Amino acid sequence: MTLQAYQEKAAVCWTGCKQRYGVFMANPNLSGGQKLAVHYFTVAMVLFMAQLLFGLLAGLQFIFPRFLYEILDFNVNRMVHINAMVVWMLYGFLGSVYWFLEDESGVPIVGLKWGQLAFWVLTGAVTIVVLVYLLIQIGSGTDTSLWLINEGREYIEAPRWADIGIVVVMLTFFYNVAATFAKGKWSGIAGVLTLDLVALAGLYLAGMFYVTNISVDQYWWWWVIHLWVEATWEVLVGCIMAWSLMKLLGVRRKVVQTWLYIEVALMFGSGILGLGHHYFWIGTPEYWFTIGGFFSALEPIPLVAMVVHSIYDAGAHRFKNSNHPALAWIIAHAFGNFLGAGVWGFMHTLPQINLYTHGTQWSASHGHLAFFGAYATINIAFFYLAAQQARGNVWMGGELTNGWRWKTAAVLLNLGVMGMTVALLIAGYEQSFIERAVEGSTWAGYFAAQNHPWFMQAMIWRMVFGLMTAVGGGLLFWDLLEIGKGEQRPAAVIENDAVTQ
Amino acid sequence: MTEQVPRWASEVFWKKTAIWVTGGSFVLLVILTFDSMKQISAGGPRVPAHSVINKDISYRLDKTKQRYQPTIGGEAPLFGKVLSEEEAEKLVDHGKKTVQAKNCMNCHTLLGNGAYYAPDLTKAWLDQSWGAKASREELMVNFLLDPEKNARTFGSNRKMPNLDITQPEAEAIVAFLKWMSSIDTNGFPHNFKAIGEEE
Amino acid sequence: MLIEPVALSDFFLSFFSAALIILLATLYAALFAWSKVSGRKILTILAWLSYAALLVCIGVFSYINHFNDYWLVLSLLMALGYGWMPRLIWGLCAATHDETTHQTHQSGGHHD
Ligand code: HEC
Ligand code: HEM
Ligand code: HEM
Ligand SMILES: [Fe+2]
Repeated sequence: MTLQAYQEKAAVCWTGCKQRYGVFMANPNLSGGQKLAVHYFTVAMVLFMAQLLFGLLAGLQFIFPRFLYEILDFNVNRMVHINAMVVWMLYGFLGSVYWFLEDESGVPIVGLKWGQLAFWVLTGAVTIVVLVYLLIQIGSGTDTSLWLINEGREYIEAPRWADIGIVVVMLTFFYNVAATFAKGKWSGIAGVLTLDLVALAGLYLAGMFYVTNISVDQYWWWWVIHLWVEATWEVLVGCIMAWSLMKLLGVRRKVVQTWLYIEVALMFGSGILGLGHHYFWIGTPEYWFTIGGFFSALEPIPLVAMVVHSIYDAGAHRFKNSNHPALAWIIAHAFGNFLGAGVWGFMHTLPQINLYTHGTQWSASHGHLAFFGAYATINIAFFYLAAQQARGNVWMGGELTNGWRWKTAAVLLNLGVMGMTVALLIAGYEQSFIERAVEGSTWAGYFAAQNHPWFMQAMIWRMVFGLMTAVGGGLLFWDLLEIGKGEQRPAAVIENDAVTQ
Repeated sequence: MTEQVPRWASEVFWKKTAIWVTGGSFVLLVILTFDSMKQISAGGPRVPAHSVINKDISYRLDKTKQRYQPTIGGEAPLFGKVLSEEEAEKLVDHGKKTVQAKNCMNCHTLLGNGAYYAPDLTKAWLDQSWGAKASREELMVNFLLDPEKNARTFGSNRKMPNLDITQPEAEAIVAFLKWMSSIDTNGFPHNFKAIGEEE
Repeated sequence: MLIEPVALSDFFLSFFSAALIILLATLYAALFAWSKVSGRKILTILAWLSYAALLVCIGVFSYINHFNDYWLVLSLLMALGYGWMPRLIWGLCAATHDETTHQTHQSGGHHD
């Protein structure tokens, strides 16, 4: 084709996109906040696909170390893999909050224009950051590199300029939330949510400075990572769940809010000092053995409580609900959170065993199941709620057209991640044995463990299940684009607690 | 609206509990953080001053504690130059900055945190694979300058890529690694036999 | 010496008993709740059986992880905590969900 032909094609494409976007923005089924939410969800899904792709690349390099060597090295692929994850999950959370903000406060979002602007600014920044990761990758050992290229600290690699941008966007988001609740109604959920967002954003600041001292560096780094995933994110999800349970199952507000407070008490009560389980070996004092060991051992309690509570609720509501895919993913969330964080976390959390599992594939096994089980699932559930509403609050119960698609996607994703988790568990078990205990974690000892047949086979199985995960992810994306289109039946009406009993 | 729920199951009760538990835990964490910061600042009891890179460092089993601990020995200046605390800090700082800018932690672990594609670097300075103490510094610098040519891989064929590290950066990294190896990490890694400690 | 690490030969048992502690605690709590809902005797018996198994696992876990002096408090906490928790949760579920007089409720509608 000639250049001109390409240009024409691109122009047609662009007009098509613009037109479709116009149709979307005129969608009468969505409020202003919900349209913004769909923007966030869309980018989240794209980043989720990127996460899977770069996970596959990084995983392949364990088996074929020459693959993309000095083109896209393991550290680059891995950085994109885990950064895409953190960012898509945050996008999902932001979107979810925008989604229910108007419903919960009873008024239109205050300063929605600023929120929309913030979305485009953030998305532009994310695009630039990823391009720099991929094209420039690394810099020289100067402050300039940390400001412009990457900060080289796992999960929060984004360069300093982007950190500042993120903080500004978060402030805008926070303004939307706080001002809207202030203008409309405050509720228990609103209160918890607002305070939790302050904590979540505040913690990010703890990861924004440079220090020479690696012990001090890791100390604050864990404030961000641990106090995010094991405290503030859990509570944020608690708020999102609380609202969804009222909507989806018709549970009463009083019940939902009481449970939210219980969850906050249990999560923060165990999770804040549970931080100590990362302070066993980084130079910090010995008393963290005790504090970290005891409090992190308590962390599974809220997760156990939630599983029991959901059995009770399911019994009380007989699973009557108006959105089957969303409910399926909420159930996946309850079990995934319980298994990944509760069971897998507890298995390696005491210093008596963590001395050997620390920094092995054991951590990766737990990390995959916990992040997927606790946070990917709940976001996906919310995407389905959004898809339902966007298409006119249509039927999403049984006998859906192409209902096989969401079911297959869910099965592939959950089985895939579970399979990867088990493969990594075997690798980590072998590694803690050979590398950590017998060989004493030397250079030679490291490779003795990597070359062990158990490990090498585990890496192959991880790829097999990784592919399964990726196929499931693609199917999920497709389904979200299609589900409910052309559906004529309206959504099932779910009655309130008071009526069902 | 009046509820017949018992007090311990009421919304207000749990709201207050949540606030007190959260506040209490956070205050405790802040207090502990102050204490930890005191103990892990460079020159403190657990993280030696940067000028420790002028000394011989090793890692031995402490019989009474039943765990491995760093030991600081006699003079052993890095690259033959004795540095003041200030000079040493500057060098280590450059090393740390390079480690971040080159994104080492998305392949390696440091203090056991990071990625699992390459060996833990906590005690890399003390690794017996460097052969002998006398040639270690040079070998390390050369390795960092050209990890492909100096690859070992132990049969795995997994090589570290060339990261365009300059000579001064490589020396600074070695200083940083030497300093890191002197941190008291409560016995992690266990059973690590340091260079020069061969029986 | 604040801790005595798990022995090499006991790694598997340590992981296994740890996982079982959480799983059995959940099973016990679930069976307990279910027995209350359905009122079937067999479920109560099963609940107690899983609690007994939980106690065994806590014992094994504590032994393998060389718990002594104050670490034993953790064993005790797990034994009592996981034993008592299902009752508490049940009590909470029953108490918070128990209602008779409520009007139909729109979310976001009213607040207490
Ligand atoms: C793309 C992944 C990757 C990156 C990035 C990387 N390394 Fe490595 N590194 C490796 C691999 C693989 C080996 C093992 C090489 C071998 O055995 O030949 C290794 C080996 C080493 C060793 C020797 C191992 C030991 O135990 O002493 C040192 C020291 C080292 N790297 C330091 C660094 C530093 C410092 C950086 C950052 C400036 C870095 N590496 C970045 C992959 C990486
Ligand atoms: C949803 C909640 C959770 C998520 C998303 C999560 C995720 C992770 C991730 C990704 C890591 C690896 C960090 C790294 O890159 O170094 C990690 C480490 C760890 N997690 Fe969790 N986790 C969760 C809950 C828990 C819980 C409840 C426990 C304990 C009961 C726990 C115990 C640990 C421990 C001990 C480590 C350190 C591993 C090591 O020493 O290398 N986690 N977690
Ligand atoms: C396509 C499937 C996937 C593959 C092949 C894959 C592969 C990988 C690889 C190779 C690493 C680096 C581990 C190391 O340092 O050795 C990694 C890290 C990680 N991945 Fe994935 N991944 C996949 C999907 C996912 C999903 C779905 C999630 C969560 C939602 C996830 C979360 C993580 C996390 C949290 C880490 C960091 C773990 C740690 O530091 O302990 N990955 N992944
Ligand atoms: Fe943690």
